[in-house]
Amino acid sequence: MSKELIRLQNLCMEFDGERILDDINLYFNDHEFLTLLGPSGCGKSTTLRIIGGFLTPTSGKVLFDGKEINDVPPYQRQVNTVFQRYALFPHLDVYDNIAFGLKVAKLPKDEIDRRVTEMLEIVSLKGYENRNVNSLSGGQQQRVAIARALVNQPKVLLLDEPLAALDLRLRKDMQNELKRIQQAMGITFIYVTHDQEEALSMSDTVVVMDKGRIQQIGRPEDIYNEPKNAFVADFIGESNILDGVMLEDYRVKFFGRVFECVDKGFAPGEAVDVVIRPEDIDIVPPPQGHLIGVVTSVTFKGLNYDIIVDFRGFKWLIQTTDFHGVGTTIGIRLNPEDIHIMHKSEYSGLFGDYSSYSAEYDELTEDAEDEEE
Amino acid sequence: MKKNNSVLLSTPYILWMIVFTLIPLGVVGYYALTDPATGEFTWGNLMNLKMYLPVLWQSILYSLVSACICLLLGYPVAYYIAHTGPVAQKLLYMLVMLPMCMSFLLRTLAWVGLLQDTGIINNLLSALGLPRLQMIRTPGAVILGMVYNYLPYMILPLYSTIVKIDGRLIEAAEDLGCNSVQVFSKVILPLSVPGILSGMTMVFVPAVSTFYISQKLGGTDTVLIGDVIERQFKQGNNPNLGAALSLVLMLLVFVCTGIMNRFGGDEEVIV
Amino acid sequence: MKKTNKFLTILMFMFLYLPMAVLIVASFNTGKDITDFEGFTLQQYVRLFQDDTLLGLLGNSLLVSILASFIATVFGTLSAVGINNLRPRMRSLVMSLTNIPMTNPDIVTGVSLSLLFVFLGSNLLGHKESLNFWTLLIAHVTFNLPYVILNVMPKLRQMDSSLTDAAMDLGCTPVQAFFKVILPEIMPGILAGAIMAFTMSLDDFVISYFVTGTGFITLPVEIYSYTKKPIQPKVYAMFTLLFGLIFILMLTMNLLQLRADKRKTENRAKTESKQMKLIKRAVAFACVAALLIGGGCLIFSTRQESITLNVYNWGQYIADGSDESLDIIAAFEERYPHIKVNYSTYDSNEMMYSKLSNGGITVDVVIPSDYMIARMINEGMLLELNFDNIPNYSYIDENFKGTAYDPDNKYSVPYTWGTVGILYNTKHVDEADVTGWELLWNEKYAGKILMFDNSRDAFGIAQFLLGYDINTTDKEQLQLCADKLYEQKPVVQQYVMDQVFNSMENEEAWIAPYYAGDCMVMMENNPDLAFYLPENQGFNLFIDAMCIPTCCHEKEAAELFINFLCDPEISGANMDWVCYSTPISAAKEYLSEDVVNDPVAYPDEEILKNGVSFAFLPEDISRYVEGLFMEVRNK
Repeated sequence: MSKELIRLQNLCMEFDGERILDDINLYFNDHEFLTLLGPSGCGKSTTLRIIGGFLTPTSGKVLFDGKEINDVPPYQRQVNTVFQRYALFPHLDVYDNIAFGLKVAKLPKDEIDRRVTEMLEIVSLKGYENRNVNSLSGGQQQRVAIARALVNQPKVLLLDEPLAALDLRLRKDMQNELKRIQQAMGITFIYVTHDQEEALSMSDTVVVMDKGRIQQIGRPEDIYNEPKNAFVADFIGESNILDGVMLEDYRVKFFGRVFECVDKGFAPGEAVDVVIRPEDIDIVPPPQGHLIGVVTSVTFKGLNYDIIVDFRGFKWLIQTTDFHGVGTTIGIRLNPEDIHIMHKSEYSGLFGDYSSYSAEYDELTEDAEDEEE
Repeated sequence: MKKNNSVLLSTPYILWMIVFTLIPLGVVGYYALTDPATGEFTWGNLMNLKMYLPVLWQSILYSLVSACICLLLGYPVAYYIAHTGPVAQKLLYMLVMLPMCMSFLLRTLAWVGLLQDTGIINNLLSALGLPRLQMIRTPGAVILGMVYNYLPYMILPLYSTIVKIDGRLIEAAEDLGCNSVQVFSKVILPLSVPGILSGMTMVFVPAVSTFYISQKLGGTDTVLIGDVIERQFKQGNNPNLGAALSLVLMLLVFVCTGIMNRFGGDEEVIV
Repeated sequence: MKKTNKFLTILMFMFLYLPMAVLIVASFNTGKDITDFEGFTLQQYVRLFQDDTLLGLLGNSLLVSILASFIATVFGTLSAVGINNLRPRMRSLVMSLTNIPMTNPDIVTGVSLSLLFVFLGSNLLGHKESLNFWTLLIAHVTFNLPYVILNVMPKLRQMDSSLTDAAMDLGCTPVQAFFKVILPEIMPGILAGAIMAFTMSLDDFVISYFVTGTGFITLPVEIYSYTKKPIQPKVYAMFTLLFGLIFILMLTMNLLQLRADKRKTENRAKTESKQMKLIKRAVAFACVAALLIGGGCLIFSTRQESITLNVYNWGQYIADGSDESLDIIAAFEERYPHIKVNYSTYDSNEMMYSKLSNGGITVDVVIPSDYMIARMINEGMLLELNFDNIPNYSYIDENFKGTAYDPDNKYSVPYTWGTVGILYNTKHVDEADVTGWELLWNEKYAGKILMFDNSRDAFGIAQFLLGYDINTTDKEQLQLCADKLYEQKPVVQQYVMDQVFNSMENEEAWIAPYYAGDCMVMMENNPDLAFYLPENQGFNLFIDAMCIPTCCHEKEAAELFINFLCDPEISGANMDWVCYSTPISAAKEYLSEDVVNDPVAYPDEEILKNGVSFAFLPEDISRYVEGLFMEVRNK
């Protein structure tokens, strides 16, 4: 569909002997909205900073249009960054912040004026030209930061958790806004976030990272539906992950029972991870169920209930619109397309068990990730 | 209600400051407007000030020059300290502070020993077979004394301003196309303006009113306004003229700091 | 870029520390001169610890700075809490009041406070000694307060305002809330303010210089007067010790803090807080101990049931025990153990007169010169002496009684007499040029000539040179003299008084007019110096005499002191060191032969006939001359 713009080849990064990036290979296409997704410390920001030119990789190459740019300083790259918490210049007003890059490039005054005005319109900040940046709200500062980067007409815009400091409502609005701007300008966005929902809703391509390695690259739907390993399955949405054995193509055995599935290409008898999304599970009266368990906890979530069900000591998370009280015995049915099979990986056994599930869990991890640089 | 009670805590302070800062300035005004011999009202002291205009001008010139030199010397140093490791930063900061705690009289006197015609530097020069230099009792020596004594007052505010500049702003500027020179001139320098202004004030004010430095390191023609005031009080037996001169010096300083604050914008105002 | 910065930083530190290194090296020098290292010795440190006066002055400085910073810290912290709760407009008004002493030059603050104290003291309270320990303390508290306020206020502003509410909600009274919640929160600000106030106070010279009287002097003020006289190397030793102390203190503070920071990052909160507690306790203990010691010293010194006698004399004008001389003051205190002498010095008659007439101080004995005595008698600044208490007055030679300045012998007892001549360095000055006062105008020696820094002596030289009467009241003649002095200015190295000792002895200057007795001292120290008396043009013959000013508190003790100095044996021992001529012939027995036979000290009667004494000048003429001299100096 479009040509390749940036390529990372065998990229490694070490700080004080600690490996932050481990052999990253990745390419970015023109006009693409690509998201680097992962928990804090996964190396996503480091990758972005290497592309921006603020860090030099320990080994490996950064190619831009086929040319190596490892040693090109940031100010000579056709790349601009929207920084986490914006990094607006406090000594300049809105207009001068946006015009900064153009003035450095010594463009004629009338052109600067034209482009800044145009940009102000795009980010809906007309009339704010002479405001002190510190007097703006978070969302407005955010838009100034985006305008300041975009006004230089970069080929690639790097966004480092740009929405992390905004409240939920504003974040949703800005997500739409960003997508709109990206489509209007037709340039490449490389977006870093730890918020899987943000990643799935905005991106053309999502790159899931953990421990300095790429775990999976794909379109949002593929990532969600066909996670490559337990980490991805758990990080993107909720998943029940069980140990299973692949008997042959389309047949998998777990919990002592053989299920039909849609996956193939595994070695016969291979031990695998089985992923079942909580919203895919159908609840039926016990006699009709493939499996029978007891409800141990119920949480009302608005759209649905999250219920934890004990199946022979293994706890599953099931999302359902019907209420089932604690202590009720229920049966479940699994359709072949609801069962996803993954090869075993280093993450097997770490995720997918809801024995210690609590509703606060998600919020806690999100807070922790805000600390990330 | 409770807040109102604690407000009362400030009353003794306000009274103290009125009695010991505002009223004394009033007394200075009173002395400035009375005749030394008769104790009657007169404009005579203020009329006499005309004679001291060249001295005043010289004081302003010397202290401005030394403030600028302090800035030129102090900026790279403050910048360097602000960008070293945390341990080195603490130690270097301490080493800048330390001279401020030691007697400035003796330290200035050490400069006399260094600079005088029969001093250490000249002795060294002549031991090396070089001609002796006339260093002491020149305007240069007075300015050197000022720079030496007040350099820490420049470095400390500069340091604390530079160290607060957000590293991401520098990255942002690089990202927007600035090379290192432009990063400095367009971001770091404008952001250190508050530090520069407070450093300039902190050097200028003591320098313009010093009398010790010019007495020790200056010659017969490097008289400063502080010298004249000191002499009126301690030898000339004319406290009234001294008071009038003090009044002028005070006005000068308030005007200068006012101008600097104006340039610095509202951030400087302490509320 | 970084490398040049590093280089500059290193250079800058060398620049900052070079003079201090010079002082430290000088403290180990066997010689007196800072520029000439003669050999290594620790003798200066021994001398330092034997010198009660110097240690006492250090104690004074510590006392004032500890008390002032302590008061300012407590007072300032409480005030800051109050100010913080003021309405915004009022608050900014108060803060600009706070900023006045911060922006005002020190000299203006010092001048304004000293004028206030003198003004209040003389006009309202009728109190003579208005400049004393307490005024000094008030001045220090005043300039310390803003440092505390400006350090505490930001901490208060940062503090969550609902903290106090929360504390009170949980059952604290407002006072408890302050101690349990606010105080710990703003503690760093308080400590920073206190430390800043303490160091500012300890090192303050300018404000103290204007606000102290003669009774209570701090170390920096004394050092200022030392620097005019030949500086004693033990002062360098003190500097070195203080430097070492402060360096170690700052270093340990920093290291402890660094360690605490490290611990914090390693999440060992418990041990860290224990350490901090220890440090805090140590600091608090040190503060309390210092306060107690300081307070104890003060109480001890005021509680002694002795009389303090304030003697105000010229610098280098009494035998002080150095060079195997008799320590006159110690001998006096030994004979009269109930009297403690507080000795301070001045450079010139004019300086002494300014200090006395500005008021605010106590002086019991003062030793002005003839013309100044006349002026002070005329202005009613001297008390009549009770000669019953001064039996030794009978030893004074008859030709020193009934003088022009005190014709009825009511107010003064002669101390010394002498001539004013030219001291010159025979190595650098051609004998052929030594013809008279015009030597001081000789452009050949431009930059090597010193001149009197007092109006009467300076004008006297111009008058001798121009052939005028030195006691003239003709304003035209005086103006011509001023012009002559102004004409001399380009060749003058500096206008000095006691600094002449240093400059002439180390040959920084080659020619200087000065008092014969002091010239003899300098000639002893540097054999290349010679004295010349321009007998043909005329020269000043002066008498310095002991008087009791009206601000005296202990008149009888003062008379006892005067009597003691008139004892021929004492006078002889004293003049042996001072080198001035004694008006007591009987004292010559106790003087070394060399001095008695030296024509510089005791010139021939014939020559003395050409000497002229300064006489009383009317008040307006005195002021006129002083005004003219200020113009010469300042133009």
